[in-house]
Amino acid sequence: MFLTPAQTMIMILAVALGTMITRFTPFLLFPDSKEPPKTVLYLGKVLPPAMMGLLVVYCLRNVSIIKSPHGIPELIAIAVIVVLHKWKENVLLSIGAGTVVYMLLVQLVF
Amino acid sequence: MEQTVQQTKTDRIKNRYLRAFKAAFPYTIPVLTGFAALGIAYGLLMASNGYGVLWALLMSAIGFGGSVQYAMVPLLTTVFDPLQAFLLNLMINARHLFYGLSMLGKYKGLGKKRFFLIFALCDETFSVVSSVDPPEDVDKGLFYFFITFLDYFYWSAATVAGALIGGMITFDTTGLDFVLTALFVVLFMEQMKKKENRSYGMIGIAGAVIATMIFGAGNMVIPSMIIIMAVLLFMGKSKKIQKEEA
Repeated sequence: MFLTPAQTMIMILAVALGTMITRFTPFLLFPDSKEPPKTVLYLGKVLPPAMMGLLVVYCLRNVSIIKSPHGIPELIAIAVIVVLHKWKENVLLSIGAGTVVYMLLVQLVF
Repeated sequence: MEQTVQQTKTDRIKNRYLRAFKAAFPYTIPVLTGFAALGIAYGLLMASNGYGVLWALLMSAIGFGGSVQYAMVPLLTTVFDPLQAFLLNLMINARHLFYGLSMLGKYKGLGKKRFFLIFALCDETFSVVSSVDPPEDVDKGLFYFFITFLDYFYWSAATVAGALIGGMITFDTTGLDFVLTALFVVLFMEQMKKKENRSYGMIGIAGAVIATMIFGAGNMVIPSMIIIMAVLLFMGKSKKIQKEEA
């Protein structure tokens, strides 16, 4: 493994800390289930889709259009996912097929 | 006489637990299949990067972050940067803030098990507990506890299985980490099914792309969030002004 055991443990704790903050904060802020402020409710509605968009871009942030393979394996794999998901609406199938396609492209073609 | 009374009490407690478990289990079956696949894949991914059963399990059992755990794998194979791990986690799990908000009412008054219920409130558990109520004769706290615990168990067990398999099989796992991209693309598509979400999804993508172009791939996380939040809050304010003027 790349990191030392101590470093790895710190990473795990960093993950745990972040996860716990996001999960516990609402219950700490609104202990008696007081009605949360309107802005919070609004963000609760609009943040999830925006965050998902951000995360997709985050995953692709290192893809270079200039350098080979110019993001083509990613493009093809994502196209497969989109078409397959629209057709079969099966989350696991779409994820699995897209990943397999990408792995094949990256290992055998590009 | 006393022994019989005690036995009846123990039986009653056992019955309560058993009834809650039986009521909860069916709701966890879809999660079982999903977590089995994703958990095993995660275990495999960790093992292929040199992190065996122990580390994969610790990450799953203590971190319990699903997509966050996948996002962490690249960070476990590069320069030690726990701050980025923490910030990335906040960004990916920000939606959990709103899960908590939705469950404030339902999780009220459930005693000490609340700690575990909240700790393990992942996407899948949330989607079940927020839409399901236990049957009349079933203890609410125990019902939600078993759903939460079973999901947590499936994930941890699948991780161990994947890591064990990963330790034994040697196949070329190049590109396996694309599974995270695939996951997010599918989740994004699920969000975009609702028409009202589409503009917000586009804002997310646009904001992130702009931030990446200006600040570079390595620094795009925080700027993206700032841009997106600013646009969303501005949109919210102008909608409110429009409503008030009307």
